[in-house]
Amino acid sequence: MQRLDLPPSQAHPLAGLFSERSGVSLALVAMLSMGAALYAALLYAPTERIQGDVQRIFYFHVPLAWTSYLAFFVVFVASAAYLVKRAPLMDAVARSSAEVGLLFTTMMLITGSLWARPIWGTWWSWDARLTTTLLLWFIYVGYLMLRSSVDDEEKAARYAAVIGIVGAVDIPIIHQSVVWWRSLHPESVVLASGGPAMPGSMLTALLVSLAAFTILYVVLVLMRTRLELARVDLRALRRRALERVA
Amino acid sequence: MFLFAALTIVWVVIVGYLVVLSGRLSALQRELDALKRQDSWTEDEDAPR
Amino acid sequence: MSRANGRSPFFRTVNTLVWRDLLSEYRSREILGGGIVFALLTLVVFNFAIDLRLESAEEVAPGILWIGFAFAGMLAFGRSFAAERERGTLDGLLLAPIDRGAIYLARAITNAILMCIVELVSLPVFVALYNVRAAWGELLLTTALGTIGFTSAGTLVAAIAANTRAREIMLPVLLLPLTVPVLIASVKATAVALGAQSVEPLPWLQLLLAFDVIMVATSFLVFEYILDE
Repeated sequence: MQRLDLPPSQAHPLAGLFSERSGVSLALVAMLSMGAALYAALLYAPTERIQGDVQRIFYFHVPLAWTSYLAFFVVFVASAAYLVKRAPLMDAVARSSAEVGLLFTTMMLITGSLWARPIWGTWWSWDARLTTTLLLWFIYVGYLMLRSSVDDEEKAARYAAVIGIVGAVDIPIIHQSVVWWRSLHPESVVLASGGPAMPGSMLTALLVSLAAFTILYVVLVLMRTRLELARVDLRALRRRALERVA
Repeated sequence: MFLFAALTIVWVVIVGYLVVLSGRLSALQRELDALKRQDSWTEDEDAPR
Repeated sequence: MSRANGRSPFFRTVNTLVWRDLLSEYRSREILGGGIVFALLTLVVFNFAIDLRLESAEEVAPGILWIGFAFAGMLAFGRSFAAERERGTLDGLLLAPIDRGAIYLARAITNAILMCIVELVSLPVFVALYNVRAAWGELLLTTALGTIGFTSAGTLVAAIAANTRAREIMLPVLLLPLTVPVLIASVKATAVALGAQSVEPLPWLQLLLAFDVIMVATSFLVFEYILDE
C-alpha cells in the first residue's frame, strides 16, 4: 500500500540514524563503556595522595562538564540548521540535546559541589568554570521553559532556535567575563584538574570516562530524538484524522 | 561519603531518565500504531482500485 | 530606490521607525515614567535591603545601580512590545516591504534611548543618595556601552517573550543569564569610575564593546526568524 506522503520524522536523509536497530546496539556500547568507566574510575585509577578517594569524583565531574558544553554546541548547530531548513528532525535534535544537556549540567554542578565540600570546605565556590556552567544551566532552563510556554509548536521551535543560537554565541563571552571577574579574587584555590602532572593511569581513566560519557550522551540524545519524532508523527496523524472528520 | 553520594546521584539520574524515556517511548509507539492502523484502514477504503 | 540626500533607504526606514516610536512614547510617557520611578525606587529600597555603612557604600553601590538599570530596562522592553501588540501596529509593519533587520534596529535604538533617559535621571540621584564621587566621563561611557549591550539583547528577548504565555517571567529568565557579561563589566567599570577600585577599566570597557558588537550583529541576523510571515 503506497503512502501518499512520508510522516514528518522520515522526511529527512538522516532519519535512519534514529531507528530501533541502531539504538539498541548503541545502547549496548554505552552500557559497556560506562561499565569500563566505572571500573577505571573506582578501581584502576590510583588513589590521589592529598585528596584521597573523593578525588575520584573528578572522573565523572570532568566528562560531565565536557558533555554539557558539547550538548549546547549541538543545540546551536541543530538550531541553526532548523532555522535554515525547517526540518522537524533538526528541531527534535535541538530539544533533545537541550534536555540531556540540562541533565548532565545538573549532575556536573552537583558532583562539583560534592567534591568541593570535603576539599575546600564549602559547597560552592564562585570558581570560573563552575560559575560559567551555572549560567549555562540557566540558559538551558530558559530554553526549555520557552519551549513549554509557547502554544504554537512551530513558533516554539523557531523561538527556541533563536535562543539556542544567541545563547551559544554568548557562552564564550560569559566565560571570559567570569574568568576576568574571578581573577580579581585570588583567594580562591584554583584546583587543577588532577594536579600539575597527571600520572598516566589517571589520564587513561579520565579518557575512558570521557569516551563513555560522550557515548552515553549520544545514546540519550538519540533516544530522546526518537521520542520527539514519534510525538511529531502523532501530532501530524491526529491533525490528519481531524481534517478527515471535518 | 561524598564519592558514594556523587556516584549514586549520577547513576540514579541516568537510569531514571532512561526509564522515563523508555516508558514514554513505548506509550507513544502504541498510540502511534493504533492511529496508523485506523489510518490505513480508512485509506484502503478510499484507495482507487 | 534612489539614494535621496545620501542616506540609504535602510537607514531612512530605521530613522522613521525610531521617530515614530519615540513620538508615540512621548505622547503616552508610560514607559519612561514607569522606568524612572522603578529605577529610583530600586536605589532607595536597596538601601534598606543591604546594610550600608557609608564608607563601604561605593563598593556595593555600582551593583545596586546596575540592578536598578536592569530591572527598569526589562520593564521598559516588556512594555514596549506589549504596547505594540495592543495597538496592532506590528502587523502593519510586516505588510510593508521593510527589511526585518530594520524593525529590530529601530526597536533597539528606541529602547536604548528610553533607557538612557531613565539613566540620565537616575545617575545624579544615585550619586547623591549613595554619597559617591564620580568621574563623570568614565561613568557615562560605561553606562552607554552597558546600555547598548543590555538593550540589544533585551529587545530580541522581549520580542520572543511577548509571544509566550508567561511573558513577565520569560523575559528575565532568558535575558539575565545572557547579559551577565554586561552586568559584570558595567559594575566593575562603574566601580572604577567611582574610585572604589584602582584597577584598569579598559579591559572591561573592551569587553562591553565586544559584547555590544557581537550581540547587535547576532540579534540583527536572527530577528527575522521571530516574526511570522
